[in-house]
Amino acid sequence: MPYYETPLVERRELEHHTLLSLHAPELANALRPGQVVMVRCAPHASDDPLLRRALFVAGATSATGQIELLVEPTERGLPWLASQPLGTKLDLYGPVGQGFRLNADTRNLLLAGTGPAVPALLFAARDAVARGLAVMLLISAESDHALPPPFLLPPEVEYQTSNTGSASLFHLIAGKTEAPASKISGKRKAARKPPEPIPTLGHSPLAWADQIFLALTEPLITEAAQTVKTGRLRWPREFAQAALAGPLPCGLGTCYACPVTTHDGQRLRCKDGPVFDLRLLG
Amino acid sequence: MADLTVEVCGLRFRNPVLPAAGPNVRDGRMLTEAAHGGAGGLVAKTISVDAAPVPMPHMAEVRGSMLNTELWSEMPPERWLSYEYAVARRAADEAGIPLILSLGYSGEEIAQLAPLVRPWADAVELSTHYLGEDATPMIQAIAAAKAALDVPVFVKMSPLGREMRAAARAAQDAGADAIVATNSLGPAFGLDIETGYPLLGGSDGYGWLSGPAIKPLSVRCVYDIAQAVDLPIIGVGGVNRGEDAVEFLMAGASLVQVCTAAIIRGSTVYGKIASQLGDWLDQHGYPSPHAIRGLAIKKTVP
Repeated sequence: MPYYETPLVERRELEHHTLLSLHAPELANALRPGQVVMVRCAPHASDDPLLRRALFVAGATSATGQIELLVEPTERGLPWLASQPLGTKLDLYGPVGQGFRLNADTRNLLLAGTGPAVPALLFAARDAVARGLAVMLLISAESDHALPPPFLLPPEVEYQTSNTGSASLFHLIAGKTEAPASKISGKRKAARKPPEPIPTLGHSPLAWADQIFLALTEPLITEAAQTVKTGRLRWPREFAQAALAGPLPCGLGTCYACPVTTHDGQRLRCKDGPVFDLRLLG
Repeated sequence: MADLTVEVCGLRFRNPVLPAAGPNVRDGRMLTEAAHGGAGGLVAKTISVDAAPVPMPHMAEVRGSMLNTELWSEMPPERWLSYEYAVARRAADEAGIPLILSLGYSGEEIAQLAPLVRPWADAVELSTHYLGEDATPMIQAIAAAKAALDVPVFVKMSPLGREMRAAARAAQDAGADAIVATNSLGPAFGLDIETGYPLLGGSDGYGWLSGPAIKPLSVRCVYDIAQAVDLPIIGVGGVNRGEDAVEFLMAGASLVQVCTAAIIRGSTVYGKIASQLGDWLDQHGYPSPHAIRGLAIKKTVP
């Protein structure tokens, strides 16, 4: 596993997140959407926290040699990471795990999710737009300020959001016009340049998509699988893939602390995932 | 510039920083990475007569340290004998460093395993982790290894549950050639307060503490053992940086082993710690690790 000391070249304070840009050319070339980097989040002389923090990469650009991390200060060590001054050399390793697998014939890509794996969708959106795909991104969070801001995305991306948590995510995916009771499903940003073809309200993004990449936590797997089963006549392998957030203590396949139960037996999130075919999970 | 080479039991190590037997050296590939990462010698993960079960999860972070319920190799000994040891041997030969093979646990098991591993071993390390407080099973294990092998036999001790000086004397009397101190500390126990479940898998959720938190305990054990026996000592427990190695050497160790730091920082950590040790020796005017070995005992013991 390659280890790097990467200088922090840009830090942007957002409402709820901090966007960090690191200069890491080799890593930027190697990373795929859905993969993770393991970042040491303690001062040089400190051992607390001892373990690195696993962060889904929010972007990687070979041309500039930069990778981007969207840091939400929810875990011990992450406030320290988010507060580092420009020039700080961050100690990290990666890429960890398997990323999303884009089919060669995919034209319409649906991205949807909630929680700590959402940065993987931002990376996937940028990557897909660069490949000329039509991209729709659906994200739900507990509040507006917890949503990634639209300017992190290329203008071609159709970006819809909900501030009502995971409950509304599957309504958005299925294209249900009625939001869950007492909750509001809002369109955060109109498409500046709508991809062709694009579903309108009343149509199912799921029916439109050639593939769907999800960002989930494990409790949402069953509902995600049910949504896909209900909304699709055919559900081929790799059609629906899920980046699963959860503990990744070592990121090396050593600690066995990130098991995921699949239809093929137990797998490790850090080696076999964090992106899994949803058919194996649900 | 300090000469980091160390000779222990007739084996020449290119520096005093080795991997400890654990998940950081769980197969031939990881041993090869350790050699490439600058380890002064190689120590393979402990094997026993059967593959170990793998409780999930078997590692968890506690503040400043780690809990593990790591047992011995989850690969059967046949796999090591047919493939992994050959890969490790090749890596050791290419780097010009010794290869130490860790075996567990009882006299009967050691008698079975020792002749089988001999073709690859420059030395063996016996784990006494599950042998309890009575020294008799450890003595039987040493006797079995000595009877089967013509290479040095190191004995690795757990930090609690036995009086270290007496245990080290018993190991020396039984014919051990070096003492490795210490194994991880436990049993320990931690809870996920959100769920109320233990942090670790396994039948009872028990584990062992490793990492920086156990270093003072391990250094004390090395310090005690160094005053009790004339054998070389290999210090292990919370070695994270060069200064930690200095501390173990001053307490009486000839070599140090590293596990948790390698899990967290990767296989290049061995070379980094060795380099930091070299820098420290240079800055303080010492020509070699040997020059500081047991310095604390010379200063503190009349």
